Amino acid sequence: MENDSVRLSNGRQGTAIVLALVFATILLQFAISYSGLIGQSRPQTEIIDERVRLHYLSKGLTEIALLKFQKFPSDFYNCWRNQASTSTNISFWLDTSGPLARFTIEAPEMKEYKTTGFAESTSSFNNTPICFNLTEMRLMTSNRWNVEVLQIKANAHYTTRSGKSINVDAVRTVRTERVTIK
Amino acid sequence: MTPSARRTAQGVTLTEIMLAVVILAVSFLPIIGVMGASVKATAKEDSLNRAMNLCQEKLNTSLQFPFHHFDLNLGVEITSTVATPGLSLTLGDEIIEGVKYTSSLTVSDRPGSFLIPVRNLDVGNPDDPKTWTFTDTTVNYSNLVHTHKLKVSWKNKGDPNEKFYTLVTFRAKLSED
Repeated sequence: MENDSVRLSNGRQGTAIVLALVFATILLQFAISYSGLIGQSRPQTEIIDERVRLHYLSKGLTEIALLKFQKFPSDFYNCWRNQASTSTNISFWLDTSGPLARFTIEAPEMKEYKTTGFAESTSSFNNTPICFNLTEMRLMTSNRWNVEVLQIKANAHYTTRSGKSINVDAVRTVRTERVTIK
Repeated sequence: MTPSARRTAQGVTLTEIMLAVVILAVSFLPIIGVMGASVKATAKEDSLNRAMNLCQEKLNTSLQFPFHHFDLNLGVEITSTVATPGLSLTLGDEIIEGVKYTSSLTVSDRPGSFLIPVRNLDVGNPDDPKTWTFTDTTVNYSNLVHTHKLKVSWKNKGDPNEKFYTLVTFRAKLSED
């Protein structure tokens, strides 16, 4: 019996160390996974912060587009009427050819695809150029309610360090008054 | 089993336990390290978010000033409070929860040009827009669009490097100004 107990005791030798090693391995695995998660949270913060920057840039572009409309309303309306009469596209304001496009989405001042020279169009994290452009400028007019509304949309986008494309739109809707000069 | 053999077996068990405790203690070290790094990272993100909120708040306020309010400071970095009746914007240093944030605003003119397709009045039927033709004209402008750049800088605790967050937008001289 005494011999059996000695054999049993000898058989258990090293069990605590093995258990501790297994437990330590699990803990190490946990630490590695956790540090990986922390590493992943940084790019997420970058995306959130840059979205705000993109929003302000596209919002600023809608301001410039509205200024153009306010300075040259009759030219905009002429372009609009011409495009509406010649285009077969029901969303003719999205056509990229014709005078309306040259006034709006294809105008060079409405497409800031700069790679150099514009400090405002650079990401604060990785110096990647931020591109912003006007994507839509249309009248949402309804004669039924006698309302004249202009909607301006702009988009800003850039590519993160990890290659992910981030897009942010800004929409500005303004009520306008059309005055006919006779 | 002789008494000396029993003592040997018991001694080995105690050594084992001590070794196991040491192994566990050592294995906890990276966990504690990761926890510490996590706390630091959270604190950094907190200060970044605070700077981002400050930046947005101040930029939005700067956009509420009359368009020509900054004419005398165009292109100059403003680091002290600016005010107009009913509106003020605090710039410069602010200490929030032990971290010093420094805000500055730069308003500069953004000259440019507009491409305008102008209708040729002598060509086509005035009542039929399909027959209209257009000629592109470029109109240059200045002092109609301002760039508002707001920068917030700060230093995280235990980090000598200065961090900054910048927001940029444009303000046009619209008819309501």
